[in-house]
Parts: sequence; C-alpha cells; structure tokens
Amino acid sequence: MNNGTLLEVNDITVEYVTQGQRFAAISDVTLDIAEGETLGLVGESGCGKSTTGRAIIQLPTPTAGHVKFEGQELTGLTHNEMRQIRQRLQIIFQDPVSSLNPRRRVKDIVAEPLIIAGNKDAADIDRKVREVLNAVGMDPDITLDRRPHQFSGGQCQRICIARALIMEPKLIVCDEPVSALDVSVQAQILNLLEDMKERYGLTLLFISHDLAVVKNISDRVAVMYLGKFCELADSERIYEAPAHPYTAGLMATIPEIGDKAIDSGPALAGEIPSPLNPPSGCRFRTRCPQAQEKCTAEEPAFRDIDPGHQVACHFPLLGE
Amino acid sequence: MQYFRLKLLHLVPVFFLVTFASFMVLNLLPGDLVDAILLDEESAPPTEEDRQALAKELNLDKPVIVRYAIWLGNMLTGDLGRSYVTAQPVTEALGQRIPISLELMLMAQILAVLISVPLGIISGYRANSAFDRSVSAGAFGMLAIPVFIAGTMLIWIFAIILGWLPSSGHTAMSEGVWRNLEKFILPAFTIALVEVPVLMRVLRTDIITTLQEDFIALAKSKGMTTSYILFHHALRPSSFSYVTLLGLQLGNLITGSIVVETLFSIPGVGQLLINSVDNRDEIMVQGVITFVALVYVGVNLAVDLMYAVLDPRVARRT
Amino acid sequence: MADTSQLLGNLRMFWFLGRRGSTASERIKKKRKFGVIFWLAASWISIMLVATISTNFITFPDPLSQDYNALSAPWSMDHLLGTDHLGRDMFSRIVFGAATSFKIAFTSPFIGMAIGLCLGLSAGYFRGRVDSAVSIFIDSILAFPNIVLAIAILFYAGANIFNLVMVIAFYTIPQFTRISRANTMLYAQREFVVAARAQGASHLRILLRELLPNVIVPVAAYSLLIMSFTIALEGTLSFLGVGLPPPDPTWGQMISDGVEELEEDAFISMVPSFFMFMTILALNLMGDRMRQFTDVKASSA
Repeated sequence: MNNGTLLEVNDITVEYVTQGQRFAAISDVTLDIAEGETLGLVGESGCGKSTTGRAIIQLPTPTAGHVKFEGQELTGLTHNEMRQIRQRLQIIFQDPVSSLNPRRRVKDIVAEPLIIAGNKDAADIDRKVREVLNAVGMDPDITLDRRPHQFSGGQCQRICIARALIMEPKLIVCDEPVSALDVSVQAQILNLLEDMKERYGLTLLFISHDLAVVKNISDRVAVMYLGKFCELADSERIYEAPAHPYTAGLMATIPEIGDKAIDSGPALAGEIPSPLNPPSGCRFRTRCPQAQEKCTAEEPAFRDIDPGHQVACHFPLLGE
Repeated sequence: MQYFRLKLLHLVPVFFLVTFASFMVLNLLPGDLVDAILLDEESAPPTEEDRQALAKELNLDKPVIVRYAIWLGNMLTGDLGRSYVTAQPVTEALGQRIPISLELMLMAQILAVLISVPLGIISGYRANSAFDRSVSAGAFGMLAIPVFIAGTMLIWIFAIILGWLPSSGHTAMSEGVWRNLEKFILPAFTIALVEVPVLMRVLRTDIITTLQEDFIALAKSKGMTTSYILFHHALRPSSFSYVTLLGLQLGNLITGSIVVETLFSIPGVGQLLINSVDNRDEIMVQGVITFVALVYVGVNLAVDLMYAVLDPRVARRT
Repeated sequence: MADTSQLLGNLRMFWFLGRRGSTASERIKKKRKFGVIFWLAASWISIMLVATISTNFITFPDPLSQDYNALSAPWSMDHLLGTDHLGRDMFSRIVFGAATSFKIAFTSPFIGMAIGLCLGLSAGYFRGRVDSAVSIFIDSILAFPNIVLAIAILFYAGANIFNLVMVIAFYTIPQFTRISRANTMLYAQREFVVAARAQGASHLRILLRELLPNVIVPVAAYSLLIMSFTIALEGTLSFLGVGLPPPDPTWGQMISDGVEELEEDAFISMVPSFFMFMTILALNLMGDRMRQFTDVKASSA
C-alpha cells in the first residue's frame, strides 16, 4: 500500500460568492492518497465532500492551496496543460442519468475522452470502446448505438465507469457513485469498482454519505463536517474506535456494523448550521454532546493522536 | 431603491443607443446625403451653392461624432430639424399630430378594457364551459389576425356592408364632439380587437385563482349576488397582472396606430411617418422615429418602475 | 405584434386548446399525440409550400399581366380565384405572393435562430459578464418598437429582399436568445457538462457537442411560432408600403391594393387576407403544439 503518494492536497479552500456574500464551501482541507489506495470521504450532505472531489480535479480550481498529482502541481496549470493530466484523473458522478448527454449515443459518449485526447484512429477507438464496455459488463453490440435513456440507472453508471476507464486513468474521484441507485444495484456497482480497481490498478477517492458503503470499499476514511476535516484514519480503526464526537455520532446512525454494537453515545441531534455563517471555534460544537467553553473560543487543530490517525477535536474520545 | 437606481442607470446606455441609432439611419442612405435630400424636391436641379449651403446646414464637414453631439443638443432643446419637402419643422409637425394619436390610443385602450374585462370575468367564472371554450377559441383565432387585416375587415363590414360608421378621415374636436369621436370608433376598435385576446386571457386566469379564495366563499355565504361578487370582490384582487399588461401594450399600440392611421387616413404621428416615407422626406422620418423610440423607452421605464412600486417583490427579485 | 416575446407569451396562455384530457394519464396520452388540428394545420402549410415550390415547374398565369376583358372578375376556369381591379390573376398572385412571403418569413427566423443560439448558449453557459453583455444587447434591440425601426431601416437602406430578411431576422433574435439561454442554463447544471470538462473538453466543444444538441430542440420548436410572427410583420410592412416594392406581389400589398376597391370588390382584399390568416393560424397551432412537447418551464429569462 505504501507505493508512494499519488495525490497530495494541501490546505485547499474553495470559496463561492452567493448573494454578494463570500463563503468557503471547504477550507484548509489537507489529505494525501497513496497509489493503489481507496480513500473514503464521508459526511452529511452539504459538508463539502463533493466540492473537495471537484477541487481535486480543478473544477473549479481551489481559491487557495495546492493540489499535487503524480508530483505535479495542478493549480495554475493552463487549460491545455490540464487536459493532458485529465486523462489520468477521472470522475464518476452521483446521478448516472444526468452525467450522460441524452442526445448522444453510448459509443460517442464513451469514446469522447479519446477524441478529446486527439485520437483519430477510428478502428482503434472502436476497439477500445468495445473493450472497456466489455470490462464493465455491458455488451458492446447491443449498447453502442443506443442512447442513455434506453438504459437503467445501474447500466448508465456502468457506462459512466467505462467512460472514466477508457483513458486508463490513475485516479478516479467517485462522487457518491451509488447513492442514486437501488440497493441491489449498489452492490453490483461497488463490486464492479473493486474489480476495475484490481484490473486497471486504480486509486480511488470514494465520496459518500453512506458509512456502510464506504467501510467496505475504503482503506482509509476521512470524515468531513461543514467544509473541514474532523477525522482521518484507517477504515478499521475509525469504525471501531472513532475519536471525534461527530464520527461517533455518525456511527450511531448505522443500524449495526459487524457484530459489535458501538457505544458511541446519542445519535446526532440538531440542524447543520449554515455554511454561510459557521459557528466560532469548533464547527461541530453546536451539536456536540461534550462541547465545552474551549470549543467556542478556539478552533481545534487537525492533529495526529496516533500514527495515521488524525482528529480535529480538543477532547477526542479515547476508547480502548 | 437599488432597483430604481439600476433601472435609471440602465436608461443611460439605452438612451444613447436609441438616439445614436436614430441619428445614424440617415447614413444608411445609399449615395450622397445632400443629393438624396435635394433631388427629392420637385424644383430645378440643385446648384453647387445649394449643395454647399445644405452641407453646411447639416454640418457634413464635421466628423460623425460631432454631428451627433450637435444633433443631440438640438434635440434636447426640442429641435429635430426641418423637413426639406414641406419646410415644416419636425417638432411642429409632431406637435400637430400627437394629440390625434393620443386620442386614438386612449380610445383603443378604453375599448380594449371594456371588451376584455367582462369577457375575462365571465370566462373565468364559467371556466371550461361552452361559453369559455368558444371565447377562448375565438381569441386564439384573433391572435392570427394582424392589425391591418382586422382593420380592412372592419371597414368592409361596418362601413361598407352595414354603413354604420365612416370608414376614414378625421374631424377636429371643434367641429363637434360626436363627429370627432365617430371617426375614431372603427380605428380604435381595430387596435382594441388585437389586444383583447391577450388581456382577456390574463384576467380569466387570475379570476379563476381568486374565485378559489376563502373570502369569495364567505361573500357567497352572505348571500350576495354573483355579479356583485364578481365585480366588487373578485375583480380587484385579480387585476394586478391585467393592469401591468395594459402598460406593456405600448408596442402593440404603436404598431396598431401606425397601421390604423394609414388605413383610416387619420392625420396622426403614424400617418406622418408613413407619408414622410412616401415623400422620401429623410429628416422628417428621422425625427419621427427618434420621437417614437424615446417615448417608447420612457413609457416602458415608467411601467417598470410603477410595477415595482405596486409590487415590491419585483424590485427585490432583480 | 409588439415584440416576439410578447407574442409568444400570449400564445403560451392558449396551451389548453390542444389538450382537454381531464385526468393526468389522459393528458399524458394526449400529449404524446399531435392531434387532428395539428395535422390539419400541417397540411395547410404543406399545401402552401408545395404551391410556392411548384411555381418553378408549372406555368402559372403571369401574376403581373393584365386581362382587360376580366377586371375584378369573379372566379372562372380562366382565373381560379378571379382577377383584381387591374385584371391580374388572383390565384397566381396568391401563389407568387406566398413565395415571396415564405422566402422572407422562413429565412429570417433561421438567421435570428443562429445568432440567438450563439448568444443564448454563451450567456447561459458562461454566465457572469457574458450574460450581462448579452442582456444589454437584447434590451437595446427591444428598446425600439419593432415596426418603427424596421420602417426606418427599410426606408433609408432600401426595401429589397436582403434588407427585409435582415431587419425581420433582427427582431427574432431576442426571443431565440431567451429560449436558448434558459435551456442552456438548465443543461449546463447537468453533470454531463461537468463530466465533459473533467475529460478536458474545451468550452467550444462543450457548447457545440454537449449543449447545442439539447438546446436546439426546444428552440427549433419555437421557430414555428416565430415564423407566424415574421409572416405578420412582413405583411404589415408590405401593407404600409415599406416592404418589397411592386411589381413583385406580396400578400400585404394585395390587401392594401384591395382596400381602395372594398366598396365594389371586397374579395380583392379578402382573398389574400384569408390566406394570410390561415397561414398564421396554422403556424400558431403547430408551433404551440410543438412547444408543449419541448417546454422546460424555464421562467428565469
């Protein structure tokens, strides 16, 4: 697993302007992903998971901070320079139906990355499209000339995966790839992603609000709240011994994990504050069961509490 | 307030654009402007002195932008030049004709209201009834009739076949109010006819919504008569879009009055425009379009602002 | 006829005419079918088109030659729709007038659509300053009451087919821009556009390959309604005598010629009026129906 770092994200911040007001959708996010690893990124909706994923692929380029991919700095690249990188840095979206242009045929959709990359060899394109469709379990002969609306959500997601794979990328950002699908189909797509990871030697950033889904697929898991990281640790560790009260609260929302019921206190109460006006100090304090004065006054640093286990909390839960 | 400032600010570029475009149309003339103007007159071929005098009067020796500035300055003091065909100053010609056009438009608007309000209310009250459907189908058909066809047909039916009303001309108010109004009825009705379908539909939709409100049920339970409820309780709350639309009909009114004044030989601004086109009276045409465009811009702005005063949500939305 | 947007707004209120299904499923079923009225309207337009095209292959009586033996004559075998006060064959004049009207009224929307699509796509995709610039441009077009500017331009620049097409096309730009902008904004939020960017597609490629194919469908559906507007505008200009100069027959001119003769021979005006009315009505009916199929309920324009 320690094959070296593929992606390094340092203190990225993404700001938007809404109604004349600036607000940071994510601030000071730092993470790195090793080659071959799957990093899970979880949090409630609106916490900035997707923004993080999109900031990594520079859509849009973060307002501040650095993103290094394969040792190359991405922020500040020109459109053309970035185009070369994009071939190795792909993304899959939550809504497979909306991520496929309804007016184009599957073969054009899947071949699009090749064409953008400048491949003009029709036979080669056709061969690669068929190969990748086969790989994701779609029959090319039936699929090629159809349009997206003739497929189910799961099939559309397979087509999206095929489109992402055709350039043989190194890293795929999976932005809630199964949330829009039926539960039975979810498992198929997750298995497919695992298979493809094996076959193509992929590294995945797997974004989801569903802890159960993330647990099975991830090597490490990061938890986000209101645009900031709360906790980052190995998958096993974070599920068995969450150190941040928010993580613990999230765990309590899962009916059961494995065979061990986790005593992590009450489930999450209260509303998520508006990101336009986040609470002072620790952002989670308004909903935290063990919030104290210090939490209001001082923002906790994102620090190591154990090797490979980082937490942003003044009073981390120390189980064991 | 933000909204008002924005709207007024917006007016500045539009004002310059409209006036500049009106000014520049003269330059669209193929060939020499001086020749174009002088050759139109039925007098002897222009001498070199005439040509130079006119060129000087039109400031043709100066660059375009300076000419525009001079023209704009003159315009603001009410001087739009004078016709080289009739020798009449443009502003004077406009002054004689504006009251006539205003009377026509006002009558058209009154007729449109008188026809569309009852139709809209009854259609709304009896939504989806046979009456409503036939009125609606008729209205859809009316939308397919351009003003000039409507006018031609009305002349044919009411002036020629039935002989009820005069088909053309204009009589000054001083020669009798009825004789003046009589000649306006058909032309005003023509314009109104084109507006009615739209106005009626808007009112119908709003009446349907209003009639579902509680206070209507209350009025009914008090035993008020239907017509009293419709006209006294339902009409007012339903009239907001209707009133707005009335204000927005200006474009229709201008098109309508140009066509109708030509068709019915009414000496209004529209007829002045078309006659000047026929006489190849360049300066007069320019003056009239400048005037009409500025009125149009001004009234539309006024309607926008009034709308914002009546319904504060408009200002906030922008 | 104030401006196109107003006209289309007016038509939008008549959506109910096409469908009268009371239950939801009935309405859906009805929605899928065009209905008898639509096909009748389409037949009328087709007949008109065939007739105008056939002038190239079949010899019609010369629409300009005068038959002094039949002035203002009623219909006969020689003159299917009779003759006007100058003895010119009405049927021929209707067909040749249709040819002129259609040439102008059908070409200009395409030019307007091309420009409107460019503006609307850019405004809806790039937003921000591009959007503001486009909206100022559109507002400036709408600042002139359409007919007045058309009269001015045709008067000063000359009334020929080219100028007419251009002036009328100019007035279709705002509405085409609005529709394409609204639709573009709708699709630009869809993930396939982000996906295309993630693949490194250029803005131009996204506009042409991803957005245009989606946006052009509703826009094309509107073009029928816009054609009914251009037919009426062309007719009005001809009627006022600022359109195509004689001798080329146009419907507007024929109606205007007949106004002088209303007392004796009303049919000289009424026949072309009828044809123009039917044509506009047919285009409205078809366009309204087409629009229902493609409407995106985009009110934010």
